[in-house]
Amino acid sequence: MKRVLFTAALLLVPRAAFAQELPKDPSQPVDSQDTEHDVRIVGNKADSLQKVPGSGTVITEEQLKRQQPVDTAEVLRRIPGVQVRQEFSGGSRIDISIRGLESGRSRRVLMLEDGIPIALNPYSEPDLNHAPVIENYRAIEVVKGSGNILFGPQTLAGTINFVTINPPDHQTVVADADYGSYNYFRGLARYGDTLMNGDVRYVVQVLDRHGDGFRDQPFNQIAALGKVIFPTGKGGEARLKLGFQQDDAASDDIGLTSAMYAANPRRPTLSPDAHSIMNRYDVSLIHDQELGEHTKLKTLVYGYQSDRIWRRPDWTRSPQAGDGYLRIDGDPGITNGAVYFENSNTILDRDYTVFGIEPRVEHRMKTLGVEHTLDFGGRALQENAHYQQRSGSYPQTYSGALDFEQKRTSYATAGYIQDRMAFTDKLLVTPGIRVEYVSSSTFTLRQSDADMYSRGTKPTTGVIPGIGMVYGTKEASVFANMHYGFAPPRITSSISAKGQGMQLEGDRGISYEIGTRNAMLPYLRAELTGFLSNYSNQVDVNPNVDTGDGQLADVGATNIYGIETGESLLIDKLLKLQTIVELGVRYTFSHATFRYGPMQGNYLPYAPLHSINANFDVEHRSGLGGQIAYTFVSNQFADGANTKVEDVTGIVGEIASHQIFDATLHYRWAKTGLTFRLTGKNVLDTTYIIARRPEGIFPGPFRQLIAGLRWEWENMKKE
Amino acid sequence: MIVVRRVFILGLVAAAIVLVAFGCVGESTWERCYAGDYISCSCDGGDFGYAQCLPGDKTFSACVCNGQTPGLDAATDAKADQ
Repeated sequence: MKRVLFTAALLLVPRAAFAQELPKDPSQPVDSQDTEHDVRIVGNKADSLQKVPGSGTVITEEQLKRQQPVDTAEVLRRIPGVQVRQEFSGGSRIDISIRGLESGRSRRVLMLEDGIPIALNPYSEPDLNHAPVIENYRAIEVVKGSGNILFGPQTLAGTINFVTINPPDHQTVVADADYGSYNYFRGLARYGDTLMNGDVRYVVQVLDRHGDGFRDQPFNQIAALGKVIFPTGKGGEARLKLGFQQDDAASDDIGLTSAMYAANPRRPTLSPDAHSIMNRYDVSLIHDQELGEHTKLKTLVYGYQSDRIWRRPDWTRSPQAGDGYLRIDGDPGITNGAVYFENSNTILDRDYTVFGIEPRVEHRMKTLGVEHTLDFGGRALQENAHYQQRSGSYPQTYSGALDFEQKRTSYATAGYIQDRMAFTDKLLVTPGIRVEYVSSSTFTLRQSDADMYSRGTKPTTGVIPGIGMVYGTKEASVFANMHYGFAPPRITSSISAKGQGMQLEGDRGISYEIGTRNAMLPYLRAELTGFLSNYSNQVDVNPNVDTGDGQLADVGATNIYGIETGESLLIDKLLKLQTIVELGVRYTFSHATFRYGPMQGNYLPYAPLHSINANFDVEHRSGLGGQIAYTFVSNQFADGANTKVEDVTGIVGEIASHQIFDATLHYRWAKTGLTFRLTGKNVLDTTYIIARRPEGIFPGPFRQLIAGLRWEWENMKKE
Repeated sequence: MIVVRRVFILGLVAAAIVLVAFGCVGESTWERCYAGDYISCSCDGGDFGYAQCLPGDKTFSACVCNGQTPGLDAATDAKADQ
């Protein structure tokens, strides 16, 4: 394979290119671990972002260390254009949205870990059913705009790549523990060392996190990560990673009615027996090989398996005469005012496997005075899914009688090429194209309580061109780009207890970006991006709540435009202070509407017009530091009709704007390696509605206070 | 300086204990009885009956075994029973 790719590279490269001496790549990203000054402020990555033909953000290792986040959402909220909802209870879910696209299970964002897809089935069911564990990561990268076409299969609003921790180059021990409200506990242990005179480095980390949940939904999360880096000969290095995650958590599908929320917004879950258990196993091997002075080959080989079983007690809002119900919550005197829980449940038992290989080549050359950086590569991927849906005869069972069974297999191949052309030190033009092909076969083995056999196959091809331009220096630049937006056809993820998956068409559209980054003043860094996306079809939550049942649907043509901006004021540099004092503010305006049909001009469901987040960080050289973070999300609608008035069930109605404050205080005692930490999430204890789907009102997390202690020890003597 | 640091650390630890204790008290109380809700109960002959959560004292009423499902009118229920 290497030879084939290298030969292909040679055919694409004029021979004369090798004879020319190339300067060090000015657009090469700087690794966060190797620098100190590039890691403090989001947006201070003009040199590395210049490589990306579009807007992007890097959350660096230094920022993560300083922030010491409790969850991944805390970090992602600091990125312009990104909306996040995360709960450890409620199925340990994370819902990420970029620029107004649908957020459920982060399915509209391409989610990667070390460049490898992490969704259940990246092509046919790109849902993220596990929340990535923030403790596993040392950096997070976000790419928007035409930079997306290097990745895939989805090239919609953005790509998020979690960069896992690296093994240390000397013996290191980390122990970390938190305890807080709702019996929240987190314990972490990490050990890293070297072997064979430092040639081989490894790290092992285990984590346990459990608690009662803010709505009396207990959760238990166990995660483990092991990583080994070893040389593979001259100019070669390999990284072997093994991972495991188990999320065992209460997870309900029925929210509060309007009257319940009005009476007590802190009312616990109505369905305490709803529960899900998810196990995820992953293994990957990433090999880097230098193929001469100007060529690098990176090969990713990976496989992962996820199994999830989710039991959901059956309920109805329309009681049937003669049926008995275990509980009746709400007001049965009002139509749809009560929820009737039956003495039965529905069990969704699903497992998924993914195998993939991705060779990626980067080759630099110079022709006719233009420096080229060619990125090209491909992917071969197989994904499988197995669905079983069963009916249980009591709410707590995981057994039950088989109602529905389906298997699905997809074979996908992809290829891409991108040429980053540096016409001058200031002008980069980056055209590229990506081609995706996927063939999905579905085998239905049982339906409507009867065995059957039906097979359907659906091939899909996507051609995704894009081009971007950057003009300027690392201190100040402007950029513009466009790309074709594509997401493969997918199976819906059934939300209703008795619902079954449906085949959707997928997303198609064109996206444009124009923006600027400025770091000319030593104390101010700013970026501003305008964006426009026209989709001929978009997959979103069914805008008709009467028939949609919370499921995804092809909602037709949509239009999304807006601006996002991020500014960081380095007050310490402005006032020449010894203490680090920084203020960061990010604002997003996203106007996402239907283009045609009866809902023309209406806002897409769950697409807020405005969002703001800000942080104020202080870090004294004594080790004392802290942060205050502020988040504002404007009002949203739950349906395509943009219904303002709340209905009885709580499913329909405007979702009011909300604002929350988080705060952290810490002290690092460098001499001992100890760090003391206090974290307050939603410190003002604001109650707000975070969603009305799938069936009713779900409140946002209440105030949570957490105290933590961390100990780090490094054996520097070995060096 | 050392004294200041020790005082600060002690203060931080004390604050942590107080805050966590404050943050935990009374927040994890599962209540099954919300005024107006019903819970099923057994009647003679194994039929379903319903007890209603009473306002104020968070207790349930006596089991009502009239063959009716709250929210359905008596005529509908009676017709179904036939």
